[in-house]
Amino acid sequence: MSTRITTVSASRGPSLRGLLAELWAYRSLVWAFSSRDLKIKYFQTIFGPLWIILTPLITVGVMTFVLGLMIKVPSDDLPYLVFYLVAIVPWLSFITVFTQTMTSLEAHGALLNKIYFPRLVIGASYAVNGAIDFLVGFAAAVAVAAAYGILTPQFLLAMPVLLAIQMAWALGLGYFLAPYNAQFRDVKHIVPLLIQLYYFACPILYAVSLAPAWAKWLYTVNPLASVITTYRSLLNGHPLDWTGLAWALVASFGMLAWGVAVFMRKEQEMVDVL
Amino acid sequence: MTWAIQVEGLSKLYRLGRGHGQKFDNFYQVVTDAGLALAERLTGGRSRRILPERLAARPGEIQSEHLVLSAAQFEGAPEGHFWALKDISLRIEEGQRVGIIGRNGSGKSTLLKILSRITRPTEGGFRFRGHLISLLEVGTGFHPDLSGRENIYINAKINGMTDAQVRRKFDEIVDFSELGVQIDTPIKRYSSGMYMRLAFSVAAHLESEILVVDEVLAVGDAGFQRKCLDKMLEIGNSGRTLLFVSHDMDAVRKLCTTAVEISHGRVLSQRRLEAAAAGAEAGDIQPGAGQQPVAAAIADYSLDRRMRSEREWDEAGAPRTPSGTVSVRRAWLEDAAGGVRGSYSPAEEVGVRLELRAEAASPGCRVRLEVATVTGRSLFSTSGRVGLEDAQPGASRVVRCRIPAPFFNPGAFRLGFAVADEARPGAETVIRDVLDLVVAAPGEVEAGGGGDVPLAPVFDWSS
Repeated sequence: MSTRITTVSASRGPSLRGLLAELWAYRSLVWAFSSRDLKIKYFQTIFGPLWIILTPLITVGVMTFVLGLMIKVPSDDLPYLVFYLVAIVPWLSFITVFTQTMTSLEAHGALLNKIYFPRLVIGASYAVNGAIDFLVGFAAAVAVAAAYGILTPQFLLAMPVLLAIQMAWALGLGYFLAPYNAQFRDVKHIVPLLIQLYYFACPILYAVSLAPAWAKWLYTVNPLASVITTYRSLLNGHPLDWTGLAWALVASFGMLAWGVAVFMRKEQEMVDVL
Repeated sequence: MTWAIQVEGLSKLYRLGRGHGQKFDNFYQVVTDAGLALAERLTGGRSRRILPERLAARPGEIQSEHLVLSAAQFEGAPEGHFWALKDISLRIEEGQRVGIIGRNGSGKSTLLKILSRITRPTEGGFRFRGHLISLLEVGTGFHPDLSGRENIYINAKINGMTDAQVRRKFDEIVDFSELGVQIDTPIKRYSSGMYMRLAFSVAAHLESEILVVDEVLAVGDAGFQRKCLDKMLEIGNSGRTLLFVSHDMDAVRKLCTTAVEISHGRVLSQRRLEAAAAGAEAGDIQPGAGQQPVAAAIADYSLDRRMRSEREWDEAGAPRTPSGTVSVRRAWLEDAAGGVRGSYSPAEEVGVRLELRAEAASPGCRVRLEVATVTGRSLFSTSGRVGLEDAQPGASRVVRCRIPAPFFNPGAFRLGFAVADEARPGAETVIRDVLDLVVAAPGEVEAGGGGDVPLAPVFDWSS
């Protein structure tokens, strides 16, 4: 019989160590949730998991045609297909993880009212699926870059770090907003608007080099912009923005820590609100 | 003894009416409240809506016991709030089976939610030793598009089981559910009965030192419900701590050794339940002789958890009268045509048969038939005498009891027996839960949980 003693007190929240130990104990639930979501997502579909790759490819195809061939947006010496692929793949994965995590408390209200498990697990399982989506899309980007003969080893080596930044940023923002989304349904109305603005604030459709000098700092402070720009720079050989990257690392993991802290503090109150 | 759960000064504050934690009215509420106030003034009448604040503003008036909230629950609470639980302290020992009882709104569900770590206490706290699993609902996290197999994995893992535990228990869960090949069908194609079976099967196999259970056992078809009750008793008897929350005193008496009564957010009493406690210690068999250890009795059940219309005992396992001179070899249900059958319509008579064997010279014995509902509520008993003066040792005798129709309302019943020596009327051997009788109206495949009134005998009236 285990002698582990769990203490729950009104005055004291769980310790960081206890939290990590618990997440570790529930790690198999992360996999269970993510494989469940994957199955449900492709249940009764004809193409099944092919959709993981079809979604970014179709988006990128349209962008290449409209923005590349018709409008002829400057693409920093990169083929349009590659230029848009390395932006859209992180973006789609980021936005999925962020919105799913943000609505995780609200969407699982019935579950949270009936059973205890570390609530962080839900967001973590979204991150796992977001990473799978990303890796499939990334493989496509690698293949296309190789076909154009511009693939560099640095592009492959930097990927894990850039993926970590992107995920920490998405999860941090998602965890931070999740309790507010559950409590004030206004959040749900504002966020789609902000996402649209953020889409244009990130250098997805265009290159940072097009931005006026006074607005350049916006791309330095935005972790996702740094992620996208770095992918492009590693392929076209332009110098890297080390300040932006260092800041992206600090900001995204800082956001993750803050988001988790807020989430943990508010999450149990939310059950009484849901 | 060491403690399993220790609750100290636990209190929970809830806001009346609107959600907890919302510190201000939202725009919609401001507008509707203003509109109602205006309407009230214009018509000169009182608003039809009773504002919670009005209730709370005059706590002195709320004194009737029939009201869900008592005046004491407003003491020390900010305006518009009340204490769903106030200063609860409890100590539950390892291996104890505790029933928490109380009326609707007494606070027992809140306590359950706090102990399950679903919501946090406002004051105080609690600690527990080991792993705690709570069942507030069966089938939590089930997804209609996934197969029974996939849902077992998800549900077991949500309940804190590890991969290894699920793998080890998986076949047992599938067997227990009796779903067979249907286990790979998406559960949206299951009947509600099948769904409940699957859900309960996972629940019954969860492994933890402490199990907290809500009244979820009150659903599902009767035979299966009984299987789950048995399984839970097994948990209680294997030294695990059980916390059962219910307003059904019968179920609590059956399962628990201690009852904690909660009323208006406070602990009213904590007392030992003699019947269940004695049952647990003496192995569910009344003092007398022919003691069968409870573990063996449970192993017996585990062998065959299906509805039993017939039961046989071999030489070694046969229950005997306290003197040992008469043994019970077979028990079965028989219809009017002489066939063995467990399911009857209310219009059919039911024959109960018991085959006894004289092991040694005996003047005779007395047999008592005990009929209870599937949840263990005793309904009636009837006794008969069997003369064995002329029986040679080794000879068998069949005792017949005919229950004429109409007598039972549709429902599921458990039949048990007690046998005693004629010469020693004080001592008897009780054999519980021997047979299952299902009474179903024609056309119904399986009886439900049984109505409020299990019996419908016809008596003679005259004037």
